[in-house]
Amino acid sequence: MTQPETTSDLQLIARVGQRDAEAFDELYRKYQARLGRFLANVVRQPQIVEEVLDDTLMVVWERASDFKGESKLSTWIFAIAYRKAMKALRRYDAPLEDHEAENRLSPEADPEQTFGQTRLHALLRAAMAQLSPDHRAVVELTYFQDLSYREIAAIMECPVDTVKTRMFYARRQLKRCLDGELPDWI
Amino acid sequence: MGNVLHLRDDHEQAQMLLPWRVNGTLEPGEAALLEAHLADCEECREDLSASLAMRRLYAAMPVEDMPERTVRLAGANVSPLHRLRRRLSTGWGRAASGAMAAAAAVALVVLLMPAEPAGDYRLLGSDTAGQPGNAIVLFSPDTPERDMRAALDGAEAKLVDGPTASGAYIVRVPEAARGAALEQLRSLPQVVLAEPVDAADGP
Repeated sequence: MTQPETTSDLQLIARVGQRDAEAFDELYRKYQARLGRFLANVVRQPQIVEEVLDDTLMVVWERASDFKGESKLSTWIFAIAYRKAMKALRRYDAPLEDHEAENRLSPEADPEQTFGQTRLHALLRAAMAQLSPDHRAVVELTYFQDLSYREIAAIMECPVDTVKTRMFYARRQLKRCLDGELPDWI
Repeated sequence: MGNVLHLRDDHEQAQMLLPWRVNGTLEPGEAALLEAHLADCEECREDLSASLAMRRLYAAMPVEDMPERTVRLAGANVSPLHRLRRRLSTGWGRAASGAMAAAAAVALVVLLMPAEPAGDYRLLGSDTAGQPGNAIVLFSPDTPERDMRAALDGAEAKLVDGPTASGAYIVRVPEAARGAALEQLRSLPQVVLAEPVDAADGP
């Protein structure tokens, strides 16, 4: 699901640090989709996603020379995106959890959502909406971005046990919301 | 960290590690311990199956909140850096909230009050405005205000607006000497970028 990090990443960020606009364009295209998906699933508000994505990539441009290779480049970039996302959510005073999401999900409301994968995705999306941004971030970084819990802890600047605990609670919540539906996918 | 669980036994530890068994990022030692536990624990085997299914379902879930422009630009032949620079020059007007506008106003006062009368400056879009800004300047975040002022003075740049959402300033430099003024600004270590902005560059 994710692209493996290669030495070309290190070469790329080194060139960006030397103000190489072409290298930045390449880096941007490489990470934009991953970051966009991560932010969309954590922030869930398109106008904030776009702002945070742009701000994140601008920081990458401005601070590329600060990257010393002590972590993977992807960890460094996701950490910037996560901090920017949390800051933006606080600034916009956005609701952190959507407690109404479950009530809005009415299988009868949209016949196309009553069967198969579409219905399961609707259920999963509603369940994700009830999680906090921190819990959504852990789910996204684990289940889609395929990062280790240590990398996630570095991104979220928290202890590894906090990452494990957040994932445990998130998984339990998602499973509860999908109760009886998930076995069909096994 | 009040919500951190304290692991009491192998079963709890296994439960905590299952998601990373699923995405294949456990260290070899952890993976071996988990496999040993899985061999004896039906509950964890069931949870592992559920986690695998959950991950497959989650990864296939379409993203609904991706901004349309981001999707459109993903494969477009547009220089991302050029677009970001343009956004810096226009973002303030689009993204301005009351708090941001207040912050910008304070920044203008702090930056300008000691040296120049406020009447020399104006906001973009003002009906009473004279000439619009024709360049954008972004300073390093830790640049002192006096250094910003000295840099702008040295390039004969008049502050028109800012900071934008990304902390940049819109300035006006003498049109005939814009290239030289921008080169001078770029040569300063505290200047992250100094780029021309024209009316035709609008959003």
